[in-house]
Amino acid sequence: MPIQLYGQTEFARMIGWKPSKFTAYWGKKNLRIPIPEPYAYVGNRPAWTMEQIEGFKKRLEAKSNDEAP
Amino acid sequence: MLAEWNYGDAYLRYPISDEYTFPDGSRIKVHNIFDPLPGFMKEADLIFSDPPWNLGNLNTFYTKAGRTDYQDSFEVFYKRLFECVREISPKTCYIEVGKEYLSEFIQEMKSIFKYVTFYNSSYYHKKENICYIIRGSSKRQRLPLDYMDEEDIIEWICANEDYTCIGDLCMGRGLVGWNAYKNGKKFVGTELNHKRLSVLIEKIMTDRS
Repeated sequence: MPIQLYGQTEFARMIGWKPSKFTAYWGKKNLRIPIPEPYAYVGNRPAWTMEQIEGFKKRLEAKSNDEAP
Repeated sequence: MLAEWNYGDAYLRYPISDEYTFPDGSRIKVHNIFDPLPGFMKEADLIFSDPPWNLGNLNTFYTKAGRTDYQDSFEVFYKRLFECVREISPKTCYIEVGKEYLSEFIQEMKSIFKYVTFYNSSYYHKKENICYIIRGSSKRQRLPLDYMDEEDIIEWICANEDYTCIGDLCMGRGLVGWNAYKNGKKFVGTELNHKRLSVLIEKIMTDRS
């Protein structure tokens, strides 16, 4: 099964973030919901699978639901 | 057989029917990848291989080697290639591939190594000849290889990677072996076509004399 990989800009768009927010978040450590380790790198640019992106999005949504009043 | 498949007739001057050991201990062998891996290949702590990129390409190498036992599945071939990589268990591995099987090769590499990087590359120093070089390793490194020609990448790897012996499972005319030799490093390799291996033997032995 061919694998499709997505870069930072596409990752940000798929989770509804601006690329600048994603880049800032990507650089942080000890986050409660860390961005997954990239599946691969294209040159020096990280790349993720759709499954990884969707998993991260679900974790974000679950966190925001937990924190809702 | 076409003269161009005789590779300058090096095989007549430096024949190799099975194995050949160079003065520095580097070893090469005429070998079908589907046969058991020669033990000496496990000396490699770094691999660079440029295997055939699809079934048609694979079978042209059988033709050029004067063989008729053609393969009917490219998947069987590349699964065997990565099985050999697993068996050798190098610290770092580079595999060159075209676009058609890039995805499959990335997934195979990812099943062996924690970090996988692939570089946009080209061959014969022509930008329109697009290929990719996939690097698998246990340590992530930022390397300046993206958009370099594959020949320059091989040269860079042999000069700059941290290794004691480089292996090549599809040696061809031995570009990897030649670059390892130029850097005073050991190499090991296998190749289906004895005539292509003779080119490397001649090149190194001529350079030494």
